[in-house]
Amino acid sequence: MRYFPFGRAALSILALAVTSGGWLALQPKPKHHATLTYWTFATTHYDSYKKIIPEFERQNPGVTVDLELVSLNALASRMQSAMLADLDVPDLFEVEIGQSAALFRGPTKDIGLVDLGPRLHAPGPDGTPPLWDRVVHARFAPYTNRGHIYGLPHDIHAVQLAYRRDIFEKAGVDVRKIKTWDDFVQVGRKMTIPGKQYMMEMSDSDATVLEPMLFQRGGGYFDADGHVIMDNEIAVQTMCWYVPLVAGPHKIGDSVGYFGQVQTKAVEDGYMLCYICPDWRSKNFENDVSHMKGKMALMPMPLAAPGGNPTTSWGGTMLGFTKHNNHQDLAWKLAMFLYLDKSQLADRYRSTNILPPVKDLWSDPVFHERRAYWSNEKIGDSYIRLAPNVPAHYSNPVIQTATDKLSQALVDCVHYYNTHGYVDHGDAQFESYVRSRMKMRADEVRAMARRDSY
Amino acid sequence: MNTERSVQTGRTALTITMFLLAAIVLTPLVWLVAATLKSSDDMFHYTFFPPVSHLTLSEYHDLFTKSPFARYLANSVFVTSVTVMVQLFFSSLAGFALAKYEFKGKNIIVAIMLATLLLPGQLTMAPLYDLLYHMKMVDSYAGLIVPGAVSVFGIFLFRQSIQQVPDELLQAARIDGCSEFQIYWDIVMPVSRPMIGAFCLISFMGAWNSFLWPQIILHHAELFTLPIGLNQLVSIYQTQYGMLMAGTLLGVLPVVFLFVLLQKEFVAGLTAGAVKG
Repeated sequence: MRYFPFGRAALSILALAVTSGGWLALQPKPKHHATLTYWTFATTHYDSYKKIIPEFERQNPGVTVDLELVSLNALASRMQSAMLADLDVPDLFEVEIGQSAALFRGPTKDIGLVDLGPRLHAPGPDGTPPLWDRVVHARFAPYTNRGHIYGLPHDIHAVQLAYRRDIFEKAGVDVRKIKTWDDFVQVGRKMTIPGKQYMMEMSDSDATVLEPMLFQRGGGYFDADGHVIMDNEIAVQTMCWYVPLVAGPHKIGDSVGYFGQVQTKAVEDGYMLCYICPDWRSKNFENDVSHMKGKMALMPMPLAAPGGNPTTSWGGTMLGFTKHNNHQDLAWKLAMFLYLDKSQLADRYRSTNILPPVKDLWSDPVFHERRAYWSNEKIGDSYIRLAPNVPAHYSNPVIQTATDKLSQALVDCVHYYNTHGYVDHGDAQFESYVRSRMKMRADEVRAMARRDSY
Repeated sequence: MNTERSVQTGRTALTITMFLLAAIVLTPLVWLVAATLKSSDDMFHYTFFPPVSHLTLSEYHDLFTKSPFARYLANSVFVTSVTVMVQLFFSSLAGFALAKYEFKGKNIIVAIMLATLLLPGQLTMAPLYDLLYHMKMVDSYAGLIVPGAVSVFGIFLFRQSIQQVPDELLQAARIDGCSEFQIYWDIVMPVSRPMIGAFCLISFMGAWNSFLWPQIILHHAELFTLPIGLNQLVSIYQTQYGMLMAGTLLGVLPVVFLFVLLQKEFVAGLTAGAVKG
């Protein structure tokens, strides 16, 4: 210790530094001077791309791709700041649907993303139709801003309801007879046991389920021109319908958080019987609640009214191309390889259950396989049937604020409902309150949107 | 006799209470350990321990074979230990200067330093990122270590501790021909060992658990520290609970091990000066 005066603690830590440093020195990190840099936030995408990128590099001699896994929470804000400050940005990147529109702020000329319109409308190689004609159009809506398309959709995310088949069968309920939400609520009143069992996973404080309900009815946060419509008649009526389902003595919905261990336990225990289930979530169930194999099934979403839309959407991923990129053609080629190459479709679908948005790919046999977990149903078939009906989900740079404000409006309305007596749909006083609160919250979003006056 | 009995009863009651409290505090840890011994399928199936026949170490095996966990662990150990060493050196050096030298503006420097403690770290992240980007330190070990090389808290801690060292000791060393750095290295630091022990542990925990900054500065998986690496197991489409819990448990162990090893120095540092000699 004579020559190391910092004591035993510091000496131990110094020893750790030397040991770990030595180990790391023996494991040199790979070099990352690549032709293209690609950021993604989803581990499943990362893993599947990692497997096939060597093939792309082989087909394009001299080209290297640096694939990076970036945190979902950090990605959008990092992209936004980096583009504004002219710092390092990738050539291509994937971003979650709720965060994508934040990148469309400011004058069009200053948006750091490439307008994909011309490429989407150009004929494909070997006479294939333009990509625009091959993809479900509604999925371009969230990534379109002032007439420019800044993103390629990775998915469709049509929604069905996942349900505990075994419990319904035991109770003698035939789900095929549930055609409309009215039918659903009627069954829900019978199946719900307050505090023990609820018909559906629905929250009284966050708009996670209210949002797809709104889309199903043709509503949304913004119209095609980016104007706020979250307080229009559809939104008001949806809220009036939704609140009595999650509040008051006749509620049929409850939530314990949409993901995580508590929710997993709730599925196993049959605490909630039905769940909003886009294709990607069906994989969550398979992975996280594997004990329910053979006890779960999928049913179409009930209709809001006869003839209405049988589905909605929840979630999504956009692939964007930055202007910073000096190899735009190569980047497009890589995107087409990752999104359209048939050789890796099966692997990716089996590991994510995500249906690609390109219609001609759906004929691949992998999308028509039976799934033992879902009571041996061909779940790909049912999502494919619903895919063309997925509603357009228009966006705006203040979309995050809008989603927060919808949740606040929900909390307001639930509180009013719980403190001013429980009414059924059609009560004028309750409706008037809902209308005023939704307008108030929508005005807050409008005020925020005005700051981005471009 | 009655007093003796009531003292005895009091002790028994205290012991029982302490056991109960310890049980409450340890329950989540026991649950974590139990969870790591289950397979993914059983993860939420049994409240605590599954039947012995279902116990497995498969999640630990997966952790090391299906994810670069060893690399994350080594990165964390390296970055944390180097950060602590660098912090220790610079903070103690600055603390020594502020405690034992008189110069113009000293108090103002201390006041400004303390004021910076009031600034939330998030406020400086954007300019710091910009700076490191231009210094080509983004996505590197240096980008993790350099911004944390000096700790204001550490400087303040050492300043307070070194102030207790008698000036006469320093004067005697100067008379013996010691340079100022020798005084710091050979006189001041050895007598500050208890504080060094406490600082090391506190600083180690801070750097070990650091999440936000590594998340911003790192892009490539081979540089990820343990918290960032474990976070990769929580994906939007799938959470690998078994591996996550096994990784969390292994991630906690170094800190626990260090505390057990160094607890005497840690406690001595925290209580230094508490009792008048």
